[in-house]
Amino acid sequence: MSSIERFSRKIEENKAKKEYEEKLKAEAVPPSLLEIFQDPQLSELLTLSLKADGKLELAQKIIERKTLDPKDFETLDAYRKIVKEAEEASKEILNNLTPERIERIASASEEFRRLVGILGVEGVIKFLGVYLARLYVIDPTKFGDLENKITKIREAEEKLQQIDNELKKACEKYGITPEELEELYEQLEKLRTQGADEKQIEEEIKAFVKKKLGRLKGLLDFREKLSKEGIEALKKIEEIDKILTEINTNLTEILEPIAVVFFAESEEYQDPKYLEYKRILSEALTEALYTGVIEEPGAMSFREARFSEEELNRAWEEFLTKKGVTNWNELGPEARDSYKQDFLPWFGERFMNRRRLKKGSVIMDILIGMVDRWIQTK
Amino acid sequence: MENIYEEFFKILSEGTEEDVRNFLIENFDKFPDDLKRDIVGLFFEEAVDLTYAYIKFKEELLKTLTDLERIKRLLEDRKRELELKRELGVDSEE
Repeated sequence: MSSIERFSRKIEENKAKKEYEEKLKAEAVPPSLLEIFQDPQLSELLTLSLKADGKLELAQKIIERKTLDPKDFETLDAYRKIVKEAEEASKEILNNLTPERIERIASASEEFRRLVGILGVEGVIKFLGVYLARLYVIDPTKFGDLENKITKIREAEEKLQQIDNELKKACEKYGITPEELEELYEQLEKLRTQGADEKQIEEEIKAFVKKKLGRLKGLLDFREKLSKEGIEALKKIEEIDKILTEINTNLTEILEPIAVVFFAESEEYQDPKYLEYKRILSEALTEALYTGVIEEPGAMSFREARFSEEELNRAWEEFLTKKGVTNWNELGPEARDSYKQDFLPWFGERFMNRRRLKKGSVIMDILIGMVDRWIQTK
Repeated sequence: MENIYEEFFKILSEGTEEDVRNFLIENFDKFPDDLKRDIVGLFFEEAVDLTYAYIKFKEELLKTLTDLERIKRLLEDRKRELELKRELGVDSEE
């Protein structure tokens, strides 16, 4: 090849390269593909949305930074818009998460409270920004549900003080007297002197709260059953007395643990023994609500997913056998990496089918992330 | 660094739900960013669910209390009515 030919080819190559880069930058609605490729987080969102739709080949092309053809540009246009939507939707939720609201949300969960303690509110927001954008792409329904709940929490904050005041009044009327509160604390102390440890005491309190809240159903039944006409049809004074007693008893039972939580905030109950009791009761109360007294969110637990490292090793051996690999130790780093990459989706599918885990569950993501790190040690 | 994953799978298979959760928080700093992100996301979602459930419970409880106060008033009115009838000798009990 002559110098002139080499020079002409170089010019052609540069021209093609420039045209290709222009194409990457061309989109009217930001972010352009070039911007996405330059930002690892946006790039990951793009490949994630492609994978979610089964466009694995194109996703792989982007991961490996291979040259795209005209058809790819057409396909990517729609996904570029999803990336933009995901970014915007995530930002919108973050705008609703003021530091005060994050603190309020953190007060409901020990684990999240500890994370806020480790990372600070700013640190938590940084991780949430990425997490939420990914959730929008992987599971839009779940994202919508979360967004809806955060909006409802924000709206409720305005009337929460009023609700609390009303409930406090009801607690004073039906709930617990200071003497009864003291009595409850004595019972707790008695358990301690009988040798119960903190965990047993917490279990006792949880059972106590659950039993008390179980009365709520009875009250809801009264509300449904006793219409104005139904009351006017009552003919016996004793019958009415019986209903009134039952309503009052149920109200006292339900408002007892709630009264402890409310009253422990009052100045007269600033003694640490009340505060400690309040903390345990408050946690038991939220747990009881969460695990079925009021609603069952159907969340997956780590307990459902338990598997051991031995099982993981067996799965790895099975995978290698299926792939016909008999000489793992002799393989080069590239071949090993390729098998490691193939193992993750294979294990994920197998694991999910066997345990019937929900796809897209964040616990599943954490487990797969752990398996990913574990496999790198092979 | 490798050991932390082995340790995790040991706790996952042998420990309780609480043990696994504690492990994730206690070793949070040792995990890479993508895992940290998912751990924060997991516990954030749960905390939102709990906050929401608690608020919903309070709203529902207050509504129930208001309705029950109304029902109690109606029951007490009816009781007074029956007591009066009894005093006047026009007992409606059958």
